Amino acid sequence: MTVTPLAQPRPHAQQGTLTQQRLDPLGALAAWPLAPVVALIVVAYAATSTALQAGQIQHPLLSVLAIVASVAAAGTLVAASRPDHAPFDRPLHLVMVGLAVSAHLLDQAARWGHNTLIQDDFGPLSIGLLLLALAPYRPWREIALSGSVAGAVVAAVTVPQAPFLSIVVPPQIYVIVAVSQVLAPALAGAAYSRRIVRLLLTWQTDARRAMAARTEESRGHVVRAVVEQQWASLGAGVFPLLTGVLDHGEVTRADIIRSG
Amino acid sequence: MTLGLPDHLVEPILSRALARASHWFALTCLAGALLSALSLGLTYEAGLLWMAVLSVLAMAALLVTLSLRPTVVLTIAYLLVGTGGTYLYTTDLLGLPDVFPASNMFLAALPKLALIMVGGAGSGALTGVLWSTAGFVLAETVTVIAAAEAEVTYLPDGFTISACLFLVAVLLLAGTARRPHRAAQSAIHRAVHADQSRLLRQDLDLRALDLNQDTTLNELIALSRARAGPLTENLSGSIRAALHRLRGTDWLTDADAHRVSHSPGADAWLTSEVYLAIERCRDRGLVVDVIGDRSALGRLDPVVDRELGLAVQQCLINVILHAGIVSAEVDIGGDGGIFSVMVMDAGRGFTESETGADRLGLRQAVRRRIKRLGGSVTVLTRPDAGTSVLLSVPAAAPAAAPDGQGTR
Repeated sequence: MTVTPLAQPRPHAQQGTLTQQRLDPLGALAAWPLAPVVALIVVAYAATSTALQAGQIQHPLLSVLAIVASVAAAGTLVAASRPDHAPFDRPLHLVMVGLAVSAHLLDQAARWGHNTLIQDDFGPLSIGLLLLALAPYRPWREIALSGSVAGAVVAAVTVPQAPFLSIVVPPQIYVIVAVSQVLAPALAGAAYSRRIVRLLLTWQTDARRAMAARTEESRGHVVRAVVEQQWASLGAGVFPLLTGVLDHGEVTRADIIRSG
Repeated sequence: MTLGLPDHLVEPILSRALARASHWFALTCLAGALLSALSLGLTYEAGLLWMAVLSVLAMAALLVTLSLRPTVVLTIAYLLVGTGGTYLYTTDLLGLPDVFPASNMFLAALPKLALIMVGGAGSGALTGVLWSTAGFVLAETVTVIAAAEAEVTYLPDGFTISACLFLVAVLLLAGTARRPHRAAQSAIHRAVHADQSRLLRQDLDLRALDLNQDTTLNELIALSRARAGPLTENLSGSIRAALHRLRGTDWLTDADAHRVSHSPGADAWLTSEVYLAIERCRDRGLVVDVIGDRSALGRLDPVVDRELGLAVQQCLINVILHAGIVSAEVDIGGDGGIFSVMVMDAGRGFTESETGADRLGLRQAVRRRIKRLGGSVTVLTRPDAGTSVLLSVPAAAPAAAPDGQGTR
């Protein structure tokens, strides 16, 4: 008889899909204040950046939509990471990244042809920061993949703007500037997610082993309690009846009635 | 149900995860800086940019080494090499004729960001903040010098400042913020333990129920269908076999059946204060292995058992608080009239004469308590070599007065 379901470590193959939130919910709860802080930074940066670069804006409506999308992305992060909404699932992850990338696309469309600097566009850094904030909630592979895809989109809208920019350098330099702002925080988030999951799994494997050993210590106590309970329950009626029949060597009507 | 991470493991685990995150951030920045230097070097045929390429490569190599083996020496080496590399890179970058108007370009910030991200290498929050701040100061200092040499306007860039502030805030949050619902962590461990015990009990109860259904019910049915009169051979044999089965322990596994043979020592162990003290520390996440003669605890006077339990608990709490390790071993033994418990850990150890006046645990909770019982405490420890605390008490010692009026 083996009753040690906790003694079995999780397969390492699952590591790519596990998160800190699933393995250590209290830890994710403690990290939660970072989500609204990041959301606030993203919204404030989008609004400030747009206001300070108002001269570059050619389509104010698109600019307003870009800020709205940015607020929606930040709001998704805050809502989905709330402890009472756990776990942070994939659809909301995709919604958040989609909104953040849309905000960047709308912002770039609003200032198309009149953007002077890539480095002060709020889109790439906002995407990067939002992906960084996913670290306690989403698997590392999905964060890294989201960062790569978002980076590719950012690069794709950066290259065509090269002729209009104020600093004259090779187009790949603009791509490096824009994509680094997405990838650096996104990969940092993915690395955090991967590392903490591995450390938590290591701890949990050891703890489960100890827990199984701990239960084993009290096993004898439990076994004796069950046996004693068994004997006590039988001792009240069954044992006297069966022993009595054997001792007398005959079955009486009373025995038949009692056994029924 | 997931096991909560014990409080004493939160900071080291978070610190290591944050270190890995900051190193990946830094590596990405260095990759960007490397590609930029290569691209600009080829475009402008600026031979000097090859120095920037080499310095960025050196930073990256050192960063990878630091990430794999985080030591103070490597951290200092990274800061020094990074400072030199940032200076060479920035000088070469800003030195390109009529390209960059000021020093606050994101391209120039890339190695500076990488230098700041050394902050995660510290084992604690404050250490990490100090390393990070040092990286920031060094990076900005060489940028001022490089901008002056390149005759480009120096302007502080928001990326470096923001990244530094963000990293410091995260490190401080990780290092100082206590977890909400800390009590829940012990409760989770107790619940998991209770759950395991419940599963075991349920399994045994089901076996007992099966036995009842298979054996008892069959005999009762046979008896109820029998005719009054002399017992037949068949029924007699069947009842005899049933009684044998019901009174026996064949329905248990061999190992469990062995446990049914009365062993008062095991009960003494499970009801002893030493066992309860160990359980309380296990609830806090400490892995405790118990070896030796547990049944010897049955020889202890209840008051001695209680005081010894409290002393053992303090020793285990010291492991949690000071040893920097999550496991300990308790060796129980009795020899003649002396009963001993040794609490051992392979943690960082200490020099007993150098412990602060505030470390009352060993002095008050352990030494005085055991002395009152007429016993002795021996501490074997040295830095980085673990700690063993041997508690010895008379097995039949007179009860010590709880108010401290016992033997001295």
